[in-house]
Amino acid sequence: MLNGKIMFCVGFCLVLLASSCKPDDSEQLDSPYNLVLPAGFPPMSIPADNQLTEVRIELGKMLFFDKALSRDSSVSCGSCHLQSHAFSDVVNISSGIEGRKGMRNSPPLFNLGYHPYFFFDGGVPTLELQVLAPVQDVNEMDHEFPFAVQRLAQNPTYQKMAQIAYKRDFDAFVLTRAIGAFERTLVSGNSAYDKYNNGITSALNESAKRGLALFTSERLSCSGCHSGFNFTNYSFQNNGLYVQYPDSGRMRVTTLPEDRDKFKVPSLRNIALTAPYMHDGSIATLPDVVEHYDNGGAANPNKDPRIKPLTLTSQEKSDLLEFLYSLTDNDFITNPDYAP
Amino acid sequence: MNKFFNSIAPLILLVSLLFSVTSCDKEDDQEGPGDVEVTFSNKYACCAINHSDVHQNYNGRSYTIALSQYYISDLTLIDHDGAEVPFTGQYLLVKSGTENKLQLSNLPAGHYHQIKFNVGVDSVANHADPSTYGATNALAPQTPSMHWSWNSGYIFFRMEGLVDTTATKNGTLDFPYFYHLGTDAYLMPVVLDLDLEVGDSKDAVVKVNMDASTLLTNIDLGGVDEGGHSISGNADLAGRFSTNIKNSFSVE
Repeated sequence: MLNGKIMFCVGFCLVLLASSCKPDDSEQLDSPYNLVLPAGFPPMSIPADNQLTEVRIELGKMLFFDKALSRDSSVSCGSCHLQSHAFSDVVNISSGIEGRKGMRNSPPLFNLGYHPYFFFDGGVPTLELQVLAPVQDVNEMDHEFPFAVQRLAQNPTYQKMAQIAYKRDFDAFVLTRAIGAFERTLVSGNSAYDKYNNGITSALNESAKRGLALFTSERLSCSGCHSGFNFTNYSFQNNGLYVQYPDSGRMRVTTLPEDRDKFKVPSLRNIALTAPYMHDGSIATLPDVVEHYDNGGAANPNKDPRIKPLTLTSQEKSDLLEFLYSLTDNDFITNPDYAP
Repeated sequence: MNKFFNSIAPLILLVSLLFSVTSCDKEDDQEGPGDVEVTFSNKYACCAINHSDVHQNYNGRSYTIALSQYYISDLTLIDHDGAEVPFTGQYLLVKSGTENKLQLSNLPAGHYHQIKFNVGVDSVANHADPSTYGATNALAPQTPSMHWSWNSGYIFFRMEGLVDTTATKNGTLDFPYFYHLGTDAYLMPVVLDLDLEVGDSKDAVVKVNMDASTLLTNIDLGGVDEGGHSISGNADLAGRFSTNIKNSFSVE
């Protein structure tokens, strides 16, 4: 009899516990996102205040493609960062609101979690801080950041997702963190070169293999700067594009004369997809880029000494191009997880 | 004897109590800590800045001041012995036409003879992320922006307006100038003399004025390389402008 009473009490308590644990509709749970990195990629450092979760990434993707970020609601991040082109643009200088033009080529977006700083002059140290720039840039979205936040906060879906993902009302923190979270998931590392590098020797044809040997040779020194798994050492270099540059590059940030006309070395992954080339999009095609390096570039006082005439044969040029084409990751540009 | 003591014991107790009360009063002549309100006002010479007023700089060039705002941080009061009472972690964004004040609490009583502060923000705050602050915090994203998004860091001092750039200086004011000064190198320390008594019975107020009429001393807004935007990269101009900023403050 006593046992029966105890059993009843325990059962009743369990029922109470179960009902108190059951989340109501307003307390939906988020779940951690397991970022799968390609073989050979190092671990990605992710900020403590923006660990990846499903809802954070989903919210970030929605914001990335939301034109409401711009003052006149005409452009989104996705307007100038096209997935089909590894999230770069097809024109030399993209158009912001009202067709306004800035001064630099829209960079591709992938493997961003590995970058130590952002923009061609390296002026911004984190992905989250980076979000502030295009929103406020007069030639891009031209929106006062607090106004952009106020507008987006009117969206009940964003408010609900902000509560689930960051346990707070939609604000500047949520906006910058969510877009940063989505951008960290843009990982690209499944090109033919990667397959070759991971042991499938047939993934590169003979021309591409010769191109790889040229690329890493001391004679060409390409891999001196385009080094490592992401094909960049993130340094600032002058590659002899002009004698006089209208854009002072890294010097704009540091004010140091030795940084004049230097720009961050870009990754070469997906390079066949990201024409036009250089910080200002002034070189239209990849063969033209190879010609530029073969010619040794213009006489700029800060030009890197490795930029000098290479006397490449036409076979060598074509091998080099074949290797560069092998850096295209078709899975990346067709991945539905990145599409709006 | 015992009986006598018993009869006067309450009296002794009372006298003791009274004594202790008076002695407490005597110690209270040493005043407790007080509060100080420090206000910042933007002026052009005598008066509030009127954004449509046309001013003349040192060489007769006409200009307006549409905007003049800046950060104040690391405010410190210095007493007559030279001891410093710092108020770190307080950041004030001073704008024209609004009340700008810092409330300093629990300042030790005494006489203070100097106030010092920085125009701008320290390097730690300067490299932090504005979006981590609540919307009402001075360091949160502002309208108009007080943060460079392309070169992460705060704009310490932002001054804008229109200028007549014609050589004859008799044209129209149609050229916008943007003097934005920032970066760690241009944190601008200011020290001003003061005559301030602080204590719990006093209402202590320090009124600091920034006189914009001195900001363009030796700067020709129409001159070559002087009509620039975000001028920290122009060391010569930025140096003169920052010196003028430091000299533009006074205690009323």
